[in-house]
Amino acid sequence: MSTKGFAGTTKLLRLILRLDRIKLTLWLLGLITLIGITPFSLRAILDAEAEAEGVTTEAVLVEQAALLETNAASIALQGPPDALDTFGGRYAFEIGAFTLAIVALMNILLIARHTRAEEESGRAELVRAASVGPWSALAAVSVIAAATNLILGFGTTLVFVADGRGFGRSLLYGSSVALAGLLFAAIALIWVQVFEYGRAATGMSLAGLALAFALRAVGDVRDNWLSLISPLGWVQAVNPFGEAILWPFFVSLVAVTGAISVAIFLAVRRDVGAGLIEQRPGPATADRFLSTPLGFAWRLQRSTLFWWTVGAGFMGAIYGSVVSTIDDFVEENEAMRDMLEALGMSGDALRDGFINVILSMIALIATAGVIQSLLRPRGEELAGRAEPLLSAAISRRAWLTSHLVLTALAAPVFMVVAGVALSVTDAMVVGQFTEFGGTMTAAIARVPAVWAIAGIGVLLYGWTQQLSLGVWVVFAVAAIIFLFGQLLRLPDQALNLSPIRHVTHLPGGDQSLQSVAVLFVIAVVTAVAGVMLFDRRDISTS
Amino acid sequence: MSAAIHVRNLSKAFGSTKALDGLDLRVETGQVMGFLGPNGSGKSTTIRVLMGLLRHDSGEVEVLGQDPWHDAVELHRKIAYVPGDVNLWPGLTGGETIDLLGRLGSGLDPKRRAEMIERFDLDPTKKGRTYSKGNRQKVALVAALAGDADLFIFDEPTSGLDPLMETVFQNTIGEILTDGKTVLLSSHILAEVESLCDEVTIIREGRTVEAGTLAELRHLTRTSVDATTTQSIAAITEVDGVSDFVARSDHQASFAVANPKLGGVMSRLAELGIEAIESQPPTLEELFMRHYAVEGQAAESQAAESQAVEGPSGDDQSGDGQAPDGSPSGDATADPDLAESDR
Repeated sequence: MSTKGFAGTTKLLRLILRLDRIKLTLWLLGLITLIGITPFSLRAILDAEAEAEGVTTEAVLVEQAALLETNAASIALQGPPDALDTFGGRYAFEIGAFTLAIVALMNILLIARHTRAEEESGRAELVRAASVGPWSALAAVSVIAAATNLILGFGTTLVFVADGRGFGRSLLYGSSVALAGLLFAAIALIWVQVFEYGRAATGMSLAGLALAFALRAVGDVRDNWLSLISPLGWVQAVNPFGEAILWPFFVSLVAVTGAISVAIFLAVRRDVGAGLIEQRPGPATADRFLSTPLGFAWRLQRSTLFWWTVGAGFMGAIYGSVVSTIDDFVEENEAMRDMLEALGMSGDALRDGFINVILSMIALIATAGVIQSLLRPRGEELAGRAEPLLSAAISRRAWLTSHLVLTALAAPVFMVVAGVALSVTDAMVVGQFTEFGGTMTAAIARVPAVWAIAGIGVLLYGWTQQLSLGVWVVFAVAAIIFLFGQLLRLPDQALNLSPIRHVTHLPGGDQSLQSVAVLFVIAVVTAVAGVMLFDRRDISTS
Repeated sequence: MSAAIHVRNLSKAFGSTKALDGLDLRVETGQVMGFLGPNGSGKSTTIRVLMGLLRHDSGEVEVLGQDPWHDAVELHRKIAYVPGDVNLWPGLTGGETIDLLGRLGSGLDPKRRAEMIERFDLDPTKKGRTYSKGNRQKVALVAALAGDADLFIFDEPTSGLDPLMETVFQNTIGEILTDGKTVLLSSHILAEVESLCDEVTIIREGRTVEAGTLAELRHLTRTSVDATTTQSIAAITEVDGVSDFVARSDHQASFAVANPKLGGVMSRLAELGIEAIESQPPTLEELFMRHYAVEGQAAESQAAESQAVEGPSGDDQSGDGQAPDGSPSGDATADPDLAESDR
């Protein structure tokens, strides 16, 4: 391979840096802050508890380690309960698999943005027409991804060193965070070669991420080999503050190298702009349903909604398969039974708590799918495809509402499918259904919370298209409050800002209908206001 | 005749940018109106206001006697619109798109649909993502023409079509006109405008600068004359209305004549003894240039053009900011026969 294949790589590097200078900076600052705030606030919580109990902070740490090691919900969300009696191990556990998934998400979006999305828009054609080699675009985005992950890893290392962790172990942890990013960047690099559309490539990469997350969740809870076939599981197997295992680095680097080779192999064998999946001719006429606003919206959204539904069912099934471990655990552990009894709780309370956390998390992830559906009209508008329809005899209200009907239906569909999948897999493991009705009620009770976030999105979109991406900010805030609220010691008023949090007391709790009703009202009012505003604004033109 | 489109003093700003600034446009029923203007002058913005996609800030707008913003849905059943940038749904076939837009819009006559697909030589089974620019435009054109609209609004409809398809388009417009339909045609293809349009409206910087029939507009400009006379031709410069005089020899010269003065110039030429004469009416290009160029540019481009065509020229170069006078041998002139036959 001559260097000609990489001609212009440095120029493309500069182009990506210029395009992404704000986006990447925000991602990195956000992630490092999220990681950095954990030692800080966790230490404060532990200190406060130590003072209250009149023991050392280390003693509190050890005491909590014993509890966490048996907490299936925490393990499913956060990772293997390794070295929890050390500060570093506990921090790493709290930062958890979820943060690693966010790192992976950053990488997937970065890769898709600068490869397939550029080809799709035709901009890559302009670039390739210049003196630019066939591998330059891939090389440039790979370098950027690598650099981004290195900075993140280094920042993480510094945060841990600043807290007084040893440099070697901190570096090991920082490297494992960077590794998570690299692995998913590499996976995304393959998918962007296969699919002709950025959205499809992003979707497949995200599905891979969800699968990796789920595999390690089950593997960690059951403490078995499933974690070892998940890239996220490899990363967490490093256990930097315990045994400090190095094989995951070698496995991962082999995997990354392999994935990049596959990506290059695919890239040089296809045309610019083309995918590896062939296009077939379609019907020459439209059926009647397609020619209605709702039928048309369905046609545009059906595949996205289908895959999200599959994803929701999959997550429900994965978590459903580990619910029974909680019963086993309570049965086997006498001290636990005594403690629960002293607190006036039954083993069912633990089980309910677990399902509770899982359903909230599924609701949170499902919200992302609902937002994607909600932003579809925006995508259509920006692509200039709203213009021909709104120039036909279909009112703005009908056009927008037909999309929003699907968005609104998506939330209960996702939650019901997840709830059923959870109950059914649990029943398959246990041999009978346990509390099917309660689980389903809890799943459905979360729908208004999802709707409320979506409603805010509709309001923003109706107001002006430019603001509508702000719904992701609302989502991010809700997610951070849900995932890290207690860790960050946010005041109750702030915690209550997250709609997902309002319904965390089901099943088995005394969830008042009131907050569900309030969320429902918020959803309806914001959505109606959004549709009315949309009636009055200019349509953006390409 | 009632007006199909009535726009008066229309203004529209995007933030601090004034896109339309007191624009007037009137299209009579049954007429083909050419809607011309340089890039960024506000043609598409005007059309989007007419389609109720943008809300105007001030002025009067009526389409088929209705308000395009409030009565959008009702109006759109009677209007067929082909946007300048046709964006299709990547996953829908051309045929599906035509059916969708037709049924949701101004109707869909299956017979006419089939005829138009045949005529424009379109493969309706291909997915939107695989069509070229020209084929995307054909999809939008078939969808618009397969219905039963009263008013057709085309925003540069043929910019991606090959000459053959452009002719098909022109013929089809000719047919729909015999049915009494109204057409607003924004285009940069001057031959198309000359052959199709009864009247043209020229806008610049969001404002109407000229409107009228092509004959009327021509009247405002100049005719190029190339003459050989028996006596010294220099005398012609004394006649009012002659400009841009370039002598080739003592007896041969080319010059421009302001159209209202044509009579006087011709009789003087006759006195000088005409041996040979060639004259060319102004082409639409010249009309265009005259209205499109802003003052400074006009003088520049005039100088540049006369230099390019005729070499450094005499003192008669007026340089008054008038349009560049395309010389008969000019390389940028449209087919003069077309222009002639249209009068």
